[in-house]
Amino acid sequence: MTTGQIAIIVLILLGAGFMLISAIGIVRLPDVFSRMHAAGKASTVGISCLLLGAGFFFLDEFLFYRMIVLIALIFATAPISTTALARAVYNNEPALRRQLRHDEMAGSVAEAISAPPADGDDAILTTPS
Amino acid sequence: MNTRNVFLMNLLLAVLWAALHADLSVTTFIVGFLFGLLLLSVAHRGYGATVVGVVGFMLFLIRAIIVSSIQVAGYVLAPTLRLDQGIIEIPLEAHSDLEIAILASSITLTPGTLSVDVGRSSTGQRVLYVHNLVMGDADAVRNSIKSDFERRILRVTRGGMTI
Repeated sequence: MTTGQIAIIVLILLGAGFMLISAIGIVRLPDVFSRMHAAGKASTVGISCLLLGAGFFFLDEFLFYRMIVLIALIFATAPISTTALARAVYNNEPALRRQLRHDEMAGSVAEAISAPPADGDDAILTTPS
Repeated sequence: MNTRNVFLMNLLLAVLWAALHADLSVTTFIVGFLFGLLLLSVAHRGYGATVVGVVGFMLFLIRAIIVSSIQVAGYVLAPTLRLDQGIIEIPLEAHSDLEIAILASSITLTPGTLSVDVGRSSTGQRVLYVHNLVMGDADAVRNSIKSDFERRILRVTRGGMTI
């Protein structure tokens, strides 16, 4: 086994390991926010390691650059969905909000949302701060 | 010339370099880009610094992501979960949309921190709300994000870079 092959094996194992850890995190962690940390994060690292491993394994010039582009695209798009989810959860789950130990966003929810929901269901937005 | 024009010039030089080679491939294009970079950073001193800043920020971000994913993996696999969740408010010096988008995305990419929303504080300053998995001291987190992420981004997007 050459050092190149060992490097590929290490990369793939690392990637699979991070995927496993993020799966364990989704099961073990208690609420939406902390699960999002596990799901959104460890998986970006996991996918990067797997793609890099695949790129080195096939060692084709264009395939390798394609892997780099894929990693860049994942890094550019993954945080946007995570932020959108976190924001939706924060604005719509007052119970979850209250169990945070420290919440500096509490006072500003009404301003942060540009317009109240059209169906008049804005009772959920008035935070008991 | 502003940075965008110099960058376009750099791409043009790379295309020229690749066109002059018999084997047209991505590698020749990248080599041509690097030579163009060398040339243009002699002609425009600010350009070289900007590119160094961008590359430096990418390396910093990759390092931050690796370090904190190991940390988060530790929290997840610990026998007893010791979470200390909280949302902190980070007053932003960055005010263009691009700067805030890059800052919020890189905070979200780093495990353990997650940007939730952008709003305005009572004084009208733009603030970023960041959720932390394990927070500790709020001011320490705030300062480390401001001095690590924001300072590096501003160094690239605003002129006057000294690296």
